[in-house]
Amino acid sequence: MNKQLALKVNGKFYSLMVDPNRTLLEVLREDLSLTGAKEACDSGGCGACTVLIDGRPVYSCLVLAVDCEGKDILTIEGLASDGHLHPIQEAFIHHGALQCGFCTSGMILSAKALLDENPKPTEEDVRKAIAGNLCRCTGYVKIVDAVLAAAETMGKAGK
Amino acid sequence: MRLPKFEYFAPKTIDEACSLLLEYKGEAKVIAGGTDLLGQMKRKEALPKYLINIRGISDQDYIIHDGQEGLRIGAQATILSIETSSLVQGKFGILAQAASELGTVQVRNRATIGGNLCNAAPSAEMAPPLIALGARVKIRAASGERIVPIEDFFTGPGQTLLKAGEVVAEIQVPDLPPRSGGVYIKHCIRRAQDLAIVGVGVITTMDKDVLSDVKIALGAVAPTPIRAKKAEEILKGKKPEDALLEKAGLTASDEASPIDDVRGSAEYRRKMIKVLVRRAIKQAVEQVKTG
Amino acid sequence: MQELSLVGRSVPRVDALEKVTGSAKYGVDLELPRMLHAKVLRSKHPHARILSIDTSEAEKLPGVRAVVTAKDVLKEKFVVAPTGVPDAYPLAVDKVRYVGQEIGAIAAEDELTAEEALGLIKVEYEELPAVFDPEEAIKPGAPKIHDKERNINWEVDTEYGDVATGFKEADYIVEGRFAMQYVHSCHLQPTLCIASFDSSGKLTFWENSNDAYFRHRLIAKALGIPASKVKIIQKFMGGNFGSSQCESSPYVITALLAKKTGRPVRLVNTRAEEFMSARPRMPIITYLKTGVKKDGTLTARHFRVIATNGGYSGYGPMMLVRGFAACVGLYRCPNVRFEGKCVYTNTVPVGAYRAFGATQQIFAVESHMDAIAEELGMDPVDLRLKNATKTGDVTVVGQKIGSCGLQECIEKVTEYTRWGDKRVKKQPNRGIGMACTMYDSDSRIADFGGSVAYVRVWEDGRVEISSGEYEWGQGSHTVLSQIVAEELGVPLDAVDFPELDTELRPYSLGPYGGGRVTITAGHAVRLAAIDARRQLFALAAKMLGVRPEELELKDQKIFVSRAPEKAVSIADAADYGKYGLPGAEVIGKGVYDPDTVLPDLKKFYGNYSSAYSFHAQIAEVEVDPETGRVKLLSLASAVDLGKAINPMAAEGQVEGGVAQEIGTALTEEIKYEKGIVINPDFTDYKISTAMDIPPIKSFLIETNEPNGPYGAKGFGQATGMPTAAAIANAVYNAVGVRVRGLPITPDKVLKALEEKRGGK
Repeated sequence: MNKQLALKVNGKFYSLMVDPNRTLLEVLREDLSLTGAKEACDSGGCGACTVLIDGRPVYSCLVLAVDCEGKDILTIEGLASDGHLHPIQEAFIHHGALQCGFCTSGMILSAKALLDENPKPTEEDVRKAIAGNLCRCTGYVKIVDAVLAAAETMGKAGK
Repeated sequence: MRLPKFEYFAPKTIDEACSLLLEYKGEAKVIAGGTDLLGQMKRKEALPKYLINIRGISDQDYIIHDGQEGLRIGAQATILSIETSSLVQGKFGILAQAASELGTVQVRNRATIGGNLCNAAPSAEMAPPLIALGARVKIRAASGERIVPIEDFFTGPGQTLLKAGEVVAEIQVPDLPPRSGGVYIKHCIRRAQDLAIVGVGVITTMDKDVLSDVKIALGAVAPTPIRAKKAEEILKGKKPEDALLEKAGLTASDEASPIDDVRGSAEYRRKMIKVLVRRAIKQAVEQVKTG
Repeated sequence: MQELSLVGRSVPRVDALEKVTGSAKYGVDLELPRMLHAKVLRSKHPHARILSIDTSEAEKLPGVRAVVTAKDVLKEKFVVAPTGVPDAYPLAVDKVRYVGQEIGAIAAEDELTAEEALGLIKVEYEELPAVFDPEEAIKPGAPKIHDKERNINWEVDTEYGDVATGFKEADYIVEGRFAMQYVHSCHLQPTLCIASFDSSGKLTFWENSNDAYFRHRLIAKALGIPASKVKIIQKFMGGNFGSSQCESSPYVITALLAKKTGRPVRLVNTRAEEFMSARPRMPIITYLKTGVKKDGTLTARHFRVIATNGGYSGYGPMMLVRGFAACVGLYRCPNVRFEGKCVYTNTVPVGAYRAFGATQQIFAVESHMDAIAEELGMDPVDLRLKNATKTGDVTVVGQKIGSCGLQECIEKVTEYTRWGDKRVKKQPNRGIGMACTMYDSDSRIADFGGSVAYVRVWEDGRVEISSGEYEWGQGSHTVLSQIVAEELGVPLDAVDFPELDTELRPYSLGPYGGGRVTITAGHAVRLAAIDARRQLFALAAKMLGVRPEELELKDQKIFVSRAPEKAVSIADAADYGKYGLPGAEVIGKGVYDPDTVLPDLKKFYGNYSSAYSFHAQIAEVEVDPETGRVKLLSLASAVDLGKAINPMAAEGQVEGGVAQEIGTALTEEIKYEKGIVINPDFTDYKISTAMDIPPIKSFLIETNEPNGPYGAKGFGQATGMPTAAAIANAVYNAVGVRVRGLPITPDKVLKALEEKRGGK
């Protein structure tokens, strides 16, 4: 029943044998030990499992691993590069945009997908982009602040 | 929660998918975005022995427009692509609007128009606008294809008129006459990540200050998305005045057969149909007036 | 006064880096060699006798390694709370009392096999009539859930002052009934427990409760294992908010399965299991009767409170009384009667969730205050100010108010929102509403209510805090690290806070009762740091040949005041202590026990907390009169927290608490149909998304609490307490209808509006 699966995760190529009934989240966590993406609701209702496939946020608990053949996956572990945090990660730290941290990986990746596509989002844009990521601790206030601040930093750095 | 075990196929052509479906009829399910089906499977509400992934069929993800059929959306176009398509936003704003209110970004990235329709939830987001737009569904089988009006497509909760071996290939949306407006109102508790208590999609076409044509479609108030034809008749050929809209709303409410469920009571739903049909038509007419 | 460099500053969380990079390991991320996966067999019936359980088919399924049922557990009833009614077993014995109750469990090689095996266990039930509503359950003839008359598992009737006279003195008597629904804390990391025995027979748990030390004792007893053979380790916690302290079955189940198989066993609830069995907040119905004079002076108050306890008692009685006490102290009134009942129902047993029994009752109190103001024709703000408790008061239940910024909080939010203008020049369908609260900062719930901490200084100058206090996201480790860094003059990033381990860290109560960590642990770590500093000074004095009194500490250097060039680093002093002298390794100890009492639950009186936080909130709403939908436009909060040790973290506590209770107010409810939860997921149990939260403005009011470290008090539990009433009061102001049973859903608002229109 195992299927051959070749995919790219955080810039590295992997070739794995997986059962078709396993989700991308399970394979990331169990086979690749990338536990930053979390399972919190099991069925696409909370966003803690959010990762980017080809730059777009998805609920990895609702994606079959075998459906990711040839895809480029980014998890939270792959966001910082060369020891430098991504501006969104920096902004989350300095704006107090996290508490328990269980939603943080997914939240940051949803924010990244937004800013990659829309570098100058409004507050409403940010709220809409992270509406699929539930946070029970922060009330989202500081998360929204952090994403807007990161947009500004990235804008300055980019231009 | 883990997915149950199943045998997996990833056909490369639509014909291959159709013949697999025919071979394993009753025991096979089609998966596209998977955002509905995989949740059902985890909860063991759906236990297909065979899962046929049609995402590998490359020529089904498109949004194009031609003079004959109007807007043509491939069954595998994602909800996000409909939401963000300038083609859709321009002439079929109601569709883009409904798409933007479906689920969350993560869901819209994966969920497909074909999947949303084939899942056939009474509250399916895309159904009321498509019904109001008079859309058609192109269905493919190994033996050929057929085209049905979308309002006939749904036969019950989770049920469609697809026969064994058939898949949805395309959604066709005819161009609207000039001076038409369209509005979808989703009534729910949260502003995101919610399912409709009542969904109302309307298309209005004006001739001077008279409603020359009206289509009203309702979601989450009957076993399938429905059209409120009697309410439409009340409005056709008339001026959209308050008393008339009130009456149309009431009639639409009578045409529905809502139930009490976790999201709302039948009684509340009936009241909301009345209010929201009136509001939707008003807004659609306003759209025409302001161009 | 001490000049502060770190305390009072908005420094980032000490665990932020691990959390933003995904490297923080939570309990669910732990993978042990040969680990098995457990699934729990749960009752399908709300009330039934178990006639037989046949596990033979399940045991035969390939991959199944062990099955446990009631026959494997000790037949001694217990209760998870330190005071309460023992009425439960970890696995159902003879009877089940709610849908979701644990009957048995399976350990298998993988989750899917365990799940499949559950379906092979045959349970024969004799269904019994069930009752779900507490007011039905206390009627004569209602089905009997335990052997208790009228299903009342615990009750209290106590009077303060002279209530009869108080009502006689009143010009008006106002009455009302208010109810809070079943809501769930929905911490994102589900309940989990991993149990593993080592070769010496020691049992280790990795889990996510918030009272490891209490639990340690309870579980050892329930399993019949000596306490020294059990230890509990905490990895990062994905939220909590109180609910996990009220469960014990996952421990017993995983331990039994681990024992039987000789392998580690992991149990993680699905979200549906969280809703049906992890402990939600106790629903409470509050009947209030208040006597008031024309000028607004309260003369008598009668609380009659009925709580849904669910199938088992747990913390029910304690929450009922402590919730009342927290609410009654807010306003001066000499005559109060409190009648309370905890009632068994065939629903999930209840637990704590942010402000222990008080969030429910303050909704009633603060909705009722507005109703009284209306009756008197008074501005609700004036009525509150007229009766507000003040610094120096001893309240009717004996709370000693050492600092009180209630008036300042009220003034701050009214000024910010332009309350006066908005009440006078009202826009159609828009409304503004206020609510307040007070809450205990470190309420004593056990004989030892304090905290113990050790602070060790390593020879490289790094500082380690050894404490059993919890971090589940609220920021306590950051605040405690700030305090230690402050006292030792080291940068924050030189402080380490290793994970909680009941074997290695000193006893702690956990964050019970009001966010007690700030005061009790704040004092404890401060004392430990001061002790460590004293030891460092003694060592440095020896090294420099001076007396300790001649020394000062700055920038991690200890130097002679009059000759600053004569200096040693903290690291050198610690090194000398560890390697140079016998037994002089720098380990400071801090013990703090607040000067509070543990009141009797039936005659609740005394100062059970060393401080009390005060809160005022104003909500603004717009109501759609045709659909009944309430749109929350904004929310302003002012909190008297004594002193903000970390203002950014404090604001986070306010914003998060408010957001949770916005859900309670408007969208959240565990819905039952014949005892079965019909919305056990995040689609239909609707916690707020980022789109649902309006701008939240928070003001931190500093009143310098005499009993708190640096003047600070605990406040985090209570930050959402006033929210539901503020919203309900705003809805009333908007459209003139009062929804008295939460949540304020569109259909309820619409129905109330129709009744109002019909009544005209």
